[in-house]
Amino acid sequence: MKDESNISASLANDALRNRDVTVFQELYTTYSEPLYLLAFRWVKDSSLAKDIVHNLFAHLWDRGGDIVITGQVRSYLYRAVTNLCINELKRRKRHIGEEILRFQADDHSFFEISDYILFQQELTQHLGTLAPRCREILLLSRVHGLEPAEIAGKLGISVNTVYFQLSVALKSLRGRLGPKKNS
Amino acid sequence: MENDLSQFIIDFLADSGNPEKQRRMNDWLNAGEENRRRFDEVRQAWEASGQLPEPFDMQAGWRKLRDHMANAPQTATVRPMPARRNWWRAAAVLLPVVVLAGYWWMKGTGGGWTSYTAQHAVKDSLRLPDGSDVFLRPGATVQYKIDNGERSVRLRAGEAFFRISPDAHRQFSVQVEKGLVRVLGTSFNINATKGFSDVAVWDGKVSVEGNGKKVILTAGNMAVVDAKTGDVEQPEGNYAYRCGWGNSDLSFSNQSLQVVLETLGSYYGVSLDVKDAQLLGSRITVRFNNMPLDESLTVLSEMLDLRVNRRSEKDYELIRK
Repeated sequence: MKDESNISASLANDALRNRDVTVFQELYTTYSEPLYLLAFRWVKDSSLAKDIVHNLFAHLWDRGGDIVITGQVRSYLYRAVTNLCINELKRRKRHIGEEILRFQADDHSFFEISDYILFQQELTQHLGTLAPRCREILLLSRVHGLEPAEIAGKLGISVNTVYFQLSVALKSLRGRLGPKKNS
Repeated sequence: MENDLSQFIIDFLADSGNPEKQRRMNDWLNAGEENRRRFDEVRQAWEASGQLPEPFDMQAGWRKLRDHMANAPQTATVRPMPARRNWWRAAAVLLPVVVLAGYWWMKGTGGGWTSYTAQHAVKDSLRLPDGSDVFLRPGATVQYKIDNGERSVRLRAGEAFFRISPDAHRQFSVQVEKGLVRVLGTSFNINATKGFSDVAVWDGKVSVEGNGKKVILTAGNMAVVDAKTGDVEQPEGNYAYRCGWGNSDLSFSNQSLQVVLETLGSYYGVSLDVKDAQLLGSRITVRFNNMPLDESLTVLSEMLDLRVNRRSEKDYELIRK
């Protein structure tokens, strides 16, 4: 599988050992968002997912000298973040889904997960292209789970406008989803 | 019309527990295959967007990480060089680190290349199989391949001083980003950063190539290779001092005091401060061969009639008498 970045395991190891900020930042820029999306998939909580990603990179920086990455950097990081998620779910005595355990145990599900993250990234990027108001309304509705009436009240607009903006946003997303489904 | 339809579907999806809306939706779905298809499309987008987290703010995340990094405990990989009198302190810190961490060797990086990253806190040295010596600044990484046919080194990042053992039959070459340095037997310094690699020669002759251009350098000359285009430039002046940290011989020929102080400061791991801009610009020719810091400062003070104010162990100010 192609890696988005040309940071090899040996370069990453060197950079962590030597605390090379430039390479470390490149690692962060390349992987923080996919890792966030993956962590969110496991813990279903945006701010917890954000903290877990921060903790992972902080750990890499602090303990860089002891860490040896073998194989692909991306697959190493996906596993590391998954393990942190499992620990956190255990600590909070939350249910640990079968899927996350399967991912931990099985190399094949790595590709499935990579596809999932790629798809989520595409969606996220696409959301960025929506008009700001339209995007805000979609996020309030679908990410924060607000009712259309609540959104209308919060933004001081009519419920009809909320519906209209939601339909625009979903229509635009449909364009994204369509070809994926057929393939 | 299209939007009215979407709104009807969204209205249902947003409140799918409502029996009245369920009934109306069922009626509509049963009215035709086309309705079902349209419903599925909207539902898919609805569900996919429901699985997204809040947008990820990468810049905020990086800022938070930077704060953490700034406060993280220092590891021993990069430490400023202590003054000579305190060598035992450095040894006390370094010895366990060296024993624990050892050297970072990585054999077989592909095609017979061996990779080495400087681990020592001040200056690391590496003797290559052909007898050439490479001195590395902390963090510098070289890869080398030495066999009967060739002597090749790649400098990925960082600064290294090379003292090449003469061998008329095997050319020695160093690859930098977009550039190639060729030598027979000589010593020279390369500093590779993201934007440029500069090559300064201590003695002998070196050729530097990039983007179809080739320049020949002799002692004191420097060439700069642009890491993006491979363009080679050769600035005027004597740059031998750039090799000083590597062979403990800091030699300056008609250089500004500013350059001298920056070089000495980086070599001894101290800060040398001069507030007087005119003084900073004055040019001197001087050589510090294997000299401890206090002797070097005495020499400078004598030359320029200065007084040294020691503000702390690592911080000095030079003032006109």
